[in-house]
Amino acid sequence: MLNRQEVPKIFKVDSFKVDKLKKTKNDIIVLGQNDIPVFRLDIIFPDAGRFDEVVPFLNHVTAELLLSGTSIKSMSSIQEYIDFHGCYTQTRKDLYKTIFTVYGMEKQFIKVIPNILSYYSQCVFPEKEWSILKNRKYQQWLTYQKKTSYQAMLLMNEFWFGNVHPLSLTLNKEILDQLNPILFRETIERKYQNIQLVLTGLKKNGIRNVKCLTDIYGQQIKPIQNILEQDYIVRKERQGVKRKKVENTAQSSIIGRILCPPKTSDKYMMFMVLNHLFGGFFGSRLMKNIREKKGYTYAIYSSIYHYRDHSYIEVFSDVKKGKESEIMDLIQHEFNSLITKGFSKKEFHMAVSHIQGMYVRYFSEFFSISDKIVSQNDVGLDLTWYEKSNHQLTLMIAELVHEEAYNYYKNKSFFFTWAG
Amino acid sequence: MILFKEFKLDNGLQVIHFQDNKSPLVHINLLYNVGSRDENPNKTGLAHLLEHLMFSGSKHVPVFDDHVHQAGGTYNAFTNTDITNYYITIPSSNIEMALWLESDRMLGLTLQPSTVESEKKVVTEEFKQRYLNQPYGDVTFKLRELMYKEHPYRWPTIGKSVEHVQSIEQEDLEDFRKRFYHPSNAILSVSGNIDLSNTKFLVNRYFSEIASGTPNRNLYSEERENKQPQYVEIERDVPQDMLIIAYHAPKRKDKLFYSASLVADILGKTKASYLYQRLVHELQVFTEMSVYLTGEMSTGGFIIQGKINPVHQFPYSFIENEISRSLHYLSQKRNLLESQMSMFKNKAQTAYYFSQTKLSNIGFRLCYYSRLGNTDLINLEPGYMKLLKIKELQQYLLEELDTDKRFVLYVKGKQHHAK
Repeated sequence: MLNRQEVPKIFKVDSFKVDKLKKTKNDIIVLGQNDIPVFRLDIIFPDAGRFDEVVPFLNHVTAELLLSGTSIKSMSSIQEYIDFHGCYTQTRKDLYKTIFTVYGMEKQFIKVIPNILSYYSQCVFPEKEWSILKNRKYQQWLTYQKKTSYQAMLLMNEFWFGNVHPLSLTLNKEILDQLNPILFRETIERKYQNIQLVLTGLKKNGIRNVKCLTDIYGQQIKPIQNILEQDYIVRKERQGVKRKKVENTAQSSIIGRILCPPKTSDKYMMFMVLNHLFGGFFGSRLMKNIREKKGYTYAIYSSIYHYRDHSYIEVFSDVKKGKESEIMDLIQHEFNSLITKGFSKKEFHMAVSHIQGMYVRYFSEFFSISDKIVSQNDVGLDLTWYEKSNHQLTLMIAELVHEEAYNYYKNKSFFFTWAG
Repeated sequence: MILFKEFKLDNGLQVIHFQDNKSPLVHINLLYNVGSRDENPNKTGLAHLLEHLMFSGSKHVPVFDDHVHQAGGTYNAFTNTDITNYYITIPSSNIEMALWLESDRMLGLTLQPSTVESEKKVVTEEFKQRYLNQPYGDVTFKLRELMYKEHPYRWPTIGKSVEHVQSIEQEDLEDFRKRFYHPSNAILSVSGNIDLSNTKFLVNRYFSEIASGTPNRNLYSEERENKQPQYVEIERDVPQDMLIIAYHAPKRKDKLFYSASLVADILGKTKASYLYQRLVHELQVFTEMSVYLTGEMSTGGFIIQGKINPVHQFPYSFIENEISRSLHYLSQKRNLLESQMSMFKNKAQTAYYFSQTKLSNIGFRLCYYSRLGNTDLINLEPGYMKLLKIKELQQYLLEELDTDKRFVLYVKGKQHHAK
């Protein structure tokens, strides 16, 4: 007879091993030996970040038009070609880079990849495609004006990064009007020549497919570890609250930020655990005390964000109207309570196990590993960092985390923005 | 090919096992045959609120989430019109923890009045976050009201209104749970690094003593066929007008569903899709558009929606006529339809293989297909799609997307209207 009172024994989360990355002689990273006959090719353009010295957003709008047509192929015929071969494409853009990704069936790789890659390198940016995109972008911008989450984030970035920083700008009509197909073509020459490649999911045609990429790119491929330092403004501690008024909203959006040591720091994992306890998972203080106890929000999380010159903890939540001040006070209170009073051993072990489980999940799927390669690259790290960090977690002591957090954060508080 | 095994406990719990020794994890997926269509029309939002409360403590487990986190796992759940689905992904060595937790909350909850009240507040904020505080957020509510007069799909899963959610009482939740949360109304899948005999042993250990209950009979008022177009206009604080044209769609397990799915892709899945090309690219009546199926188990929805280009601001009637003309034209042009069909069949094939790359996806789909009546659909569906013939698509375009069968929703932006 089962005794339900008895809690099943918990086995320590297994550590995981990060396989040494396979790199070809010309720096293509290759992941896989998968059972499933699909591939994903990430083409990273490390020079095509959000900032562009000619016009803000030029790199990113260029990225959205990469498949808009060559002198002999229209946008629709390119898309038909991609669809016919069962492929999917996606463009992701952030502050530092643009990633163009192709997904498809492995057997099609050698046939479709050379063509798809030639479409972007020979793109002529037809006027009509630009006009359609421009109109859509402008309408999307108008819609975003109505979103409290967007307004709170923009206001936060203006104060946090400074108002000339690319993350503080929006793709409004004024900027859209400065862009044109001649600039896009020039951008391809200026910003889209350096590439980094990550190829994931090879069943049996691996060598053949890597050779195909080598034939196309030759020596153009850059090693994945190549960080350009870009610092836009000297960051200083900021505290207090700023508000953006948005009419007729059903909720308000709150964002809070506070600095945190970078991912490259030896002490970083302690702050990762601290953030976890604070708002990093379902069992966190923010979720338990502001969502579950008070019912002021559906979701409240904190995450650590990394840039090349600094990192920070960010809290985000869409909250009940009229409770904004109380919630910001509660967020600060929960953080202060962790810093000053500390946390129980049980809480600490829960957070550590959750992080370890998360890492095991990351490394159980090939496509998740390729995502991690790319994000680690942003801050000059590689995947061995996860092994090292996991090892640190196994040795970590709750009291030391508390002490470290107290020393770092005493007399510091969050900077908040809210919109609603 | 997903090689799974099925077995059933004496109390009616259906169990599906899929072994993947390369993964260090197991994924436990528990699907209950209950959704918002099973609610009382005067107390909607109940199925979803109960899903939230399933994490608030059960008979022998006062705090659910602490145990999952200590064991290195993650969990979540969702409710839709047809089902409520719970899952835990956990390192395989800790599978017993997941089964203990799932079985205990199937056995019973320890609902406290204060917890219920607090969770109602949380769901109210979710209601606002997802639907009321987003531009265009609640337009699908209006669309449901327009498309369904009889069937419980006429209200959204979150509930008809915030007031409905607020009016739910603890007794309602307990009754609902007793009716639907028992082994004979559930399907469990165990996927990942565990063998069949161990799965059988552990599932028996944790679930076999739970009393069976009566399965949901899933009897609902059938929605009558729509024989003449129906129109509704609403006004919202949005920058762009929007047009939604909807039709009733086949039930999810109906073979005709595959025709509907391929036709939806042909019309609007990518920039090469026929209707997208015509309306966004050539005529530029929309700045963006999509075509999709809602995919419900009873009569679902086939939706064509677009945001109207304010530069041209074509009248609604022009756009509607153009859509009718385009659907008819496509049905008559065999070569065009054939090339579009090949494209999207190939794309569906790729999507099928990608769906096998995640354990959680496999675990859920095994339960879902079992609920549809044939677990092997996880392997068979791509073949059904592949076998579709031009004639079937032509027939779908002409008969199911007939102008008379339309439901049309105009969403007017307040600013436009003022002009």
